Amino acid sequence: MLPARPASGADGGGVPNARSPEPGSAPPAVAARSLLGTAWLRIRRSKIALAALAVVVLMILFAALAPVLTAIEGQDPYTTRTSPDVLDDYGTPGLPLSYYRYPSFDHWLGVEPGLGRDIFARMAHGAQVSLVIALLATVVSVVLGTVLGAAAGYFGGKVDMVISRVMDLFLAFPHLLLVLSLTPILQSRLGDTALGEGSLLPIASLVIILGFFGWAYLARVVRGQVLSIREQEFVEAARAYGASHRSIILKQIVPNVMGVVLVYATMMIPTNITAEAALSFLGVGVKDPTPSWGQMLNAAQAGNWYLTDPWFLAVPAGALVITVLAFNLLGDAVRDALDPKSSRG
Amino acid sequence: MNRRTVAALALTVATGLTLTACGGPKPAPGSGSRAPADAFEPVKVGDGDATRGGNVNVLMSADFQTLDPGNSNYVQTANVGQLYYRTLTMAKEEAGKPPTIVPDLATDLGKVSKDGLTWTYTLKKGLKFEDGSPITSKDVKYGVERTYARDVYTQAPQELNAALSDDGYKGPYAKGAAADFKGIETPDDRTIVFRLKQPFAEFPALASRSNTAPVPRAEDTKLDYTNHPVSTGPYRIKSYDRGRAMKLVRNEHWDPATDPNRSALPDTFTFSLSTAQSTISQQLLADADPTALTLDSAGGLQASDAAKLDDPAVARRTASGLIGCTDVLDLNTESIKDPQVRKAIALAIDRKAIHLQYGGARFGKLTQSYINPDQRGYVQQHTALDPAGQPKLAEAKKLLKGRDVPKKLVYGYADATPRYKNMGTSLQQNLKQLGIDLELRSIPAANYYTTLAGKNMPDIARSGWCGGADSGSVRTTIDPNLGPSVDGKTFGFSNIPRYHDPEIARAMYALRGENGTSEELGRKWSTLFDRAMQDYPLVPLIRNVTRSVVGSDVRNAQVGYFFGAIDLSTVSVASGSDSGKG
Repeated sequence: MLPARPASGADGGGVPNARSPEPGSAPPAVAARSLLGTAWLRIRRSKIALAALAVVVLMILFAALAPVLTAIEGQDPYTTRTSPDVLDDYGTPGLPLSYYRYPSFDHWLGVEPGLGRDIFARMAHGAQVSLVIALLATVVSVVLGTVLGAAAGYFGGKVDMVISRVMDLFLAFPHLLLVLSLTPILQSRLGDTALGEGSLLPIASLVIILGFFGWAYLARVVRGQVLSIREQEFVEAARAYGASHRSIILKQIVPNVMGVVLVYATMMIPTNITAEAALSFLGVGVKDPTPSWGQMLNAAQAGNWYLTDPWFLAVPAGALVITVLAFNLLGDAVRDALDPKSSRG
Repeated sequence: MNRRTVAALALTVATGLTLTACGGPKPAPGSGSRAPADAFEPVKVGDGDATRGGNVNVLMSADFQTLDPGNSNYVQTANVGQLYYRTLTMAKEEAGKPPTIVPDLATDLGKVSKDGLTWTYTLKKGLKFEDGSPITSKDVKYGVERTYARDVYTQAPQELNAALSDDGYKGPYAKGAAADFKGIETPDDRTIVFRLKQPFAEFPALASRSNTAPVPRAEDTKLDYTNHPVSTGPYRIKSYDRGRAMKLVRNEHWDPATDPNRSALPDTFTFSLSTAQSTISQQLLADADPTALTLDSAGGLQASDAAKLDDPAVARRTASGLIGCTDVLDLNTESIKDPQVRKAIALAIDRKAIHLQYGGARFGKLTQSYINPDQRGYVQQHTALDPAGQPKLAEAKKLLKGRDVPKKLVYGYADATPRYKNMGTSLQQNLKQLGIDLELRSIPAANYYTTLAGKNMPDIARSGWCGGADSGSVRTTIDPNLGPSVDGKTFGFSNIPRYHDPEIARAMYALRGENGTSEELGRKWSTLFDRAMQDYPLVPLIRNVTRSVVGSDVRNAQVGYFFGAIDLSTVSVASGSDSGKG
């Protein structure tokens, strides 16, 4: 026989049943919303946040569909075109003739000076590379930061001391210098430094470097949160029930710091996009022939092409600015939405 | 074509910028190279100005590979070397022409014995090192001796040594009999006698090689000698911070009466050794420092800078001239063994695209051969390459049928110059058509040629040759680049493709010993070279024209045929120039 279901929440310890309130009893409770639900509601109210979200979603779709889009365009990111019909031969050698320099039916964003490769194809495939690096590096940082931060905050004592000192150490390094010097070393350790089309080596190395050196700040914030959460009653209760540390961290604590983590993650993505672009621009990140936005900026700068063909610089720079701005605005909105003290929600 | 008339989504702002940046009318598209008729005539800047004093500021994107005259095959070292070392004879530059061999430390071009096996030189009187001690024939002998220590000096010039009669000699650092050099005798402090294995008609040119620069034995610090070579020329090294900066000041012990070849007008030279190439070209075009010039190849100019050379203000400051330097792609014959595969690769290469990376017709001529008709002893060369530089894919694919084609090859490029990377990207596309994956490996520019000479030589690499001791002769290109080693058994020291065909090597080896005029012997060299080139150890690319923009106060600037850059032995700065720099 099935146990009889209580007709109402009147039996004391039961969960209030919002869907079937007893007529005439307590007034209907507001529907309980999850953290994300509340956040979504707040984001939906802000036009800027919605626009930013739309741009981010579009950019991700654009990157994901890069092969499809370039196939529709009928181009690929690697084929060079150097005939005098496409590139100037004498006046400014290598400068695309005007039909090829600017958007046209054949080349939606024109072709590169010097090599005559299709800019749209390179930008789309470059978006893929740039976003994959930024997202994966963020995932690495977030996982490391959350786990280590939670462990430090929860266990305290020696564990905390060791992890916190490591965090301090990572935060004390000049980030850009470290990444600049480590990337080439890591690349030569990971494999042959000779790079072919679509080589994964620079991508992998950037994910590792950016991910591994970006966790410390988040870990510090998480640790602070966990320090206060672990003293709360529900954690005490779980402990009293004899729950394992692992289960307490994963089931009680981590869900309660997810808001903070989410905010930092959305802020970290644009930082990583810029970091990838900066490194590739400086020539240590993604290298030709593999396209990324930073690599394209590098190509526009190398040989001073940006002076004679500003459009070539404008495309990756524009994509970078728009994407980073959208991620930043979205990050702001998420923070506002998750922070109950925020006035703008 | 109808498509070209489709209106582009014109961006007014971008177009406006482009037009102002380019300046001047543009040729109609698609009509090919249009080098003006005078494109190859030499142009000097500020010829004849005799102002003494001031500082010349030399901008470079990378440090000198070495400053040691005993360890250098590099034109940049030879160029700057004119300022701080002197040799028995000297290759004196004249824009647009192969250099003339003139006496330098020696009183004349040498006296040859009847059998052609002995050349005798006498040093001028009153020659001194920078510390005031006299230069003797023993110092000249020692300078040559140390370049036999090939284990120490991997880039030592070998043309002179190869002609001398003591092949068993192992350099002054070896012990026992091997340390006693018989190739040179010094009967007194001013007389030097060279003993040759075989007659050598162009010996005065060999005596101009940098290893006849005197080196005092007591000052020889082996590989550290590059940090402060003892000066015998008009300037001495005051400070040298490797990879960053160098300063040359006057050497008071240099006597102008002994040296008609160097005007030595400026008081000092400063060298900035780590300026990015794109910064160099921007600074020179903008005249940011009126006393600046560069030794970088192609005047440090980027392809995109070319249009600015039409600006009259820049044109006035541009020295130019056709130079002896020819660039080629070396195919590593040890890793790509099959000559037919090499030929297919050569045919598949879009040399027109590479020509474009060099700045097109303004900066060079596409060439079908490493040697050129301006050189003595040139005979017609044969090649299957397209004269217009277009790839011949069908022919290349046919050649590869049934052959063992490598799946993956590596192209190495010097990282300081964007053009070389772009060449790789273009090659990548060409080789893909043959089913070969080409990977690009960057090599630090300062170690580029050392890497090519070592075990890390990639499968394909670019190199250039500007002629050797006597750049007016074909032999100077052929012998070092595809010639056999000293004993004729393997490839020679500058043979980057590591090409060795036993039969051709034997013939070249024998040719080194033949007696005759430079012209007759040159024809034989050219014929052997033509045979070797049928194995495609290298792909001729571009015969260079150098255009080098200098600061508005720089005078007497000419492009050296051999150096491929501004000849430092003639430059000066105008009066009233601010010399407080550095």
